[in-house]
Amino acid sequence: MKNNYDVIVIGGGPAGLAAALSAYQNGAKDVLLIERNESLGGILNQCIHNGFGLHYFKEELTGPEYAQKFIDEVKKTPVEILCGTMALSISKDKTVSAINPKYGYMQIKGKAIVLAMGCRERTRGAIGIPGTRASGIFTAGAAQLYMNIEGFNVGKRVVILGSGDIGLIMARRLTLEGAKVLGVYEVMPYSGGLTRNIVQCLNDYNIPLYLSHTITDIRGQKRVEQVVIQKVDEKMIPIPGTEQIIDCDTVLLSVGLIPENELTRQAEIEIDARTNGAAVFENMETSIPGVFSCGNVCHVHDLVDFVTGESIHAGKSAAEYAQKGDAVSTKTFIVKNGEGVGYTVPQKIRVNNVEKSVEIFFRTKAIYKESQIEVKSGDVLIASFKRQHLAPGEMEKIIIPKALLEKAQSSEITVSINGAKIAADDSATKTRVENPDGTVDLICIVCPNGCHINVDPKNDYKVTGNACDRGTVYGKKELTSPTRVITSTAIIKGAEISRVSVKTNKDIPKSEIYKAMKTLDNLEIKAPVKIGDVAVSNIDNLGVDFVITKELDI
Amino acid sequence: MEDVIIIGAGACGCSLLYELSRYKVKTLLLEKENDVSVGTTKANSAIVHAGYDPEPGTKMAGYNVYGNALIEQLAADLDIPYKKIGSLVVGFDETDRKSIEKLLEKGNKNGVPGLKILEKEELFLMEPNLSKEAICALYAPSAGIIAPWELALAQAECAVKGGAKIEFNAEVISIEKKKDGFKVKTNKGDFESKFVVNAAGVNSDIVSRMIEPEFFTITPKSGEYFLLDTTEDGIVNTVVFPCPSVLGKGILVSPTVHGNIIVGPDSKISDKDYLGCTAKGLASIREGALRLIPSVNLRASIRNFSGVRADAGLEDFIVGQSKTAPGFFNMAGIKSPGLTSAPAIAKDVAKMLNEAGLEFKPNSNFVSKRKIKRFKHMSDAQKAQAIKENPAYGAIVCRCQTITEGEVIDALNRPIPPVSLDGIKRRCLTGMGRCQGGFCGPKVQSLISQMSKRKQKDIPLDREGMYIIISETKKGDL
Repeated sequence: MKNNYDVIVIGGGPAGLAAALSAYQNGAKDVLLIERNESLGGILNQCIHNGFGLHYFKEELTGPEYAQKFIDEVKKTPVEILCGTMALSISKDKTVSAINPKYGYMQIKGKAIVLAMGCRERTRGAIGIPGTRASGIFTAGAAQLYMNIEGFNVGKRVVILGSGDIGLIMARRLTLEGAKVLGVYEVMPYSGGLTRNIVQCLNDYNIPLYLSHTITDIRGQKRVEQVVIQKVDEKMIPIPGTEQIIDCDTVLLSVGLIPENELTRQAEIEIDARTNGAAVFENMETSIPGVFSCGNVCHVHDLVDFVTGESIHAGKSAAEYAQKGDAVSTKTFIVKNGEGVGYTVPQKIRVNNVEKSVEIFFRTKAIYKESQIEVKSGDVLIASFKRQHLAPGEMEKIIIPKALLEKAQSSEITVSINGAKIAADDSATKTRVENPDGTVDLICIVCPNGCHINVDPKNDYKVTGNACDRGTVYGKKELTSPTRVITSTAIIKGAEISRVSVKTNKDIPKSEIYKAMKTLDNLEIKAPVKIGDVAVSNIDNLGVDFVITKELDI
Repeated sequence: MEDVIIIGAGACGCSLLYELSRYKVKTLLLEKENDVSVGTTKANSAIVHAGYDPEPGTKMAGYNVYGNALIEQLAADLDIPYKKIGSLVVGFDETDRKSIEKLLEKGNKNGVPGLKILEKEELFLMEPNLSKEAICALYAPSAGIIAPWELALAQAECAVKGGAKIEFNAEVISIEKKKDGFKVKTNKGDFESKFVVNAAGVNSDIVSRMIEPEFFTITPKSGEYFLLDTTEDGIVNTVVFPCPSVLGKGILVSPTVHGNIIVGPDSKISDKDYLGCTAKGLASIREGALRLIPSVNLRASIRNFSGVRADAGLEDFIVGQSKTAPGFFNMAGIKSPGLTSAPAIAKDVAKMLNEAGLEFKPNSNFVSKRKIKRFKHMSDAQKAQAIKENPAYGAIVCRCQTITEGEVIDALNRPIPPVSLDGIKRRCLTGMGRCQGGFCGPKVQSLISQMSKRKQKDIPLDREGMYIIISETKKGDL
């Protein structure tokens, strides 16, 4: 433990892990990683479902497995790790004040700092749902923590508000643990989560998704007893006469994430009101030179793979700053949102600091089909990109080569959407359509792309509409013998936490899911465990094992 | 046999408990809920009113002005978060100006110090974000803000340390007059005392009717609020009210002692135990707030809540000995400015008890001071020292509010140990921030469980029955 470091990374989740690793790999000698929890991995530790890593590792991992890959890499390096440590403030001269029980109050100076604190969930207070203050109202992530880490069931009859991914994931998780999920209600006329999650978390378990609906009252003086659901009009105003009363004991909220920028604000770093994160340059540098921001603290991502990519970039930039100092700037572009664009990251580009190209991430404000993403400088179109489908729930990325940027005339570039806006999109509620010609429309769930495919059972299950070969296999299997990988937890004794995450090492028939789940009941696993250890071998003679997905020491 | 039984652990009951703990008096406080400050005391505007509202000559006027002064002293002695930031009653037209002049006159009669009418220039200097439609305001420098639940809690803690007793989860069923006092029946058994004081808040009419003929009825009036994130700090510097109307003091915008902004309340008749918000209520508050402070950002809301005021429909509070049941005293119909008045009412009722025969000999164990460690407000050196003394002060439990495990453990070791998540919240602010306990809730629950040796599943959110978790996973019982 020193007082001076080349790079200090605040946050040991996926963003911080990747940034610390990348800072070290790019020449920073002394790197310190600060994490407030007792273990690294951040929110991935409670995201025990699979679906991570398809872009970055080209394989499907659970959250803890994805985190472990980076934890292992970081632990091979001399990067110093301080867990159970809370950063309280950052000064302009890049001194971090932090505390932990062992070292007490610390002041640590960094040549460069990477902010990787992640995000938090929007709460009931933020959206002002009327009703009582009864218990039984959870953000989806809080319920996930209770279930997956602490090992507690939070309710029996559950209503989910908001179709964000964590809500969808929790709908399945609650169902598998024995709760009844009565429905997912989304105020927008389109879904907020990934389509593959609607298929594998809602449709698989017959959980209905209602678009343009919201909760207008919560009843029950002690525990939640009822909610009132109402349809909303296009301005999202509840429509009188559409009230439905639902008996339930639990409400889960999955209504958005907010970057956690307390430290950023306190350091008086410029915040972009559109992202609620720091406004950053092309290298993820904030308004304080040498302070970088990446991952969900900068802007909320849908996929951890992109968090990783961005954080590797930020870590590299921090290492460069620690070695070379301020980036020289000859020309700076301000990136503006044009028609249909909600925000962009980066917000500012220093052209001479761009190596070959710059990646711009953004979200649209509405749904578009068949459209062009246009990048303009003044009136000059410098680049355009075609898209089949754009939605606010799906972060978009475009790559602009440096050569094109150099063509720009004015000091601003604008990203806008040229295409037909779609008011509502209920395709997410129609993930399986049996056509009159006997073919079936499905959404492929093999990867987050979610290709809309058509399968023809009369023609040897010929699949069309798929972007890759995996779609061909999926389409046929889905109609003949659908299978899923199941993730869950098991009781663990002798570890810091009381549940360890597990998954089936191969996919199992959908019809066998509940039977397989039963094999985990009252099973007790003893720490220490490693990823891949067998928890239940040959589940119900299916030739498939439940394997551990998280490393836990005694 | 107790000397005094107090019914209700709100601001009034706890103020009286503290007041009586100065003397060698056997006092028992009966509370139907599981903690102090679970009713009206925890859910209100958290304002220490100056005292220009009540009609001159009423008990309310006297209690308010005296209570205001007492609270300043109590806050210092008992380490209760309190700030004397002053209040403004803002006028928008000549009719408002007339009411403001009337308030000034009433305030002067009531003995409120330092009142003056501010004209535009001075007013906008004080509150730059105030609506430009404002023409004048009544400034009351003695008004303040407070952590309302702490006023009751701090006094109750000192009283308990000094020998007073509190029985929680004890709901009074009946009161019987005996030869030398009263028998108070509760769901937890019978208790006897020479004197009984009714400080039962919204239920004070029910308690009164257990021993007296009906002479007042509490009409519960609910008021809803927005609590805004600390990012909004600075939007107002004082407690900003509109001109009062028949409905009450109107929708205010004020800082809180915790650095948030509070906006509200509306006023409507409700059920005694209804604590909730309505779309209509919240919309009316939004409208009222925007009229005062057009730039107030209600999207920064972190919580909506409501409180129920115990309105007896009278001009004045009901304070004093029963006409028909000697030895039975009421502290009833304590609507606004009840929080401010509570310490003064308690002093008065103590005096009445003394006059009615309760002997006052000084209590050598009287605890008049309290000090709470609040990590967030320590200097760097103090923080370093605190962690050195107790490493648990180096572990953050609530990241939004920077609350340490040391503070939570200290709270659990205080004279009235909290039994719920909100009990911890009232004592050390965990879960008061923007994530509303999403991150720290499970940790706090597990700390309470460990320290109190109760199962985690039995630790409620607030009142008994407000369970959070239902069973363990993987035990096959869901």
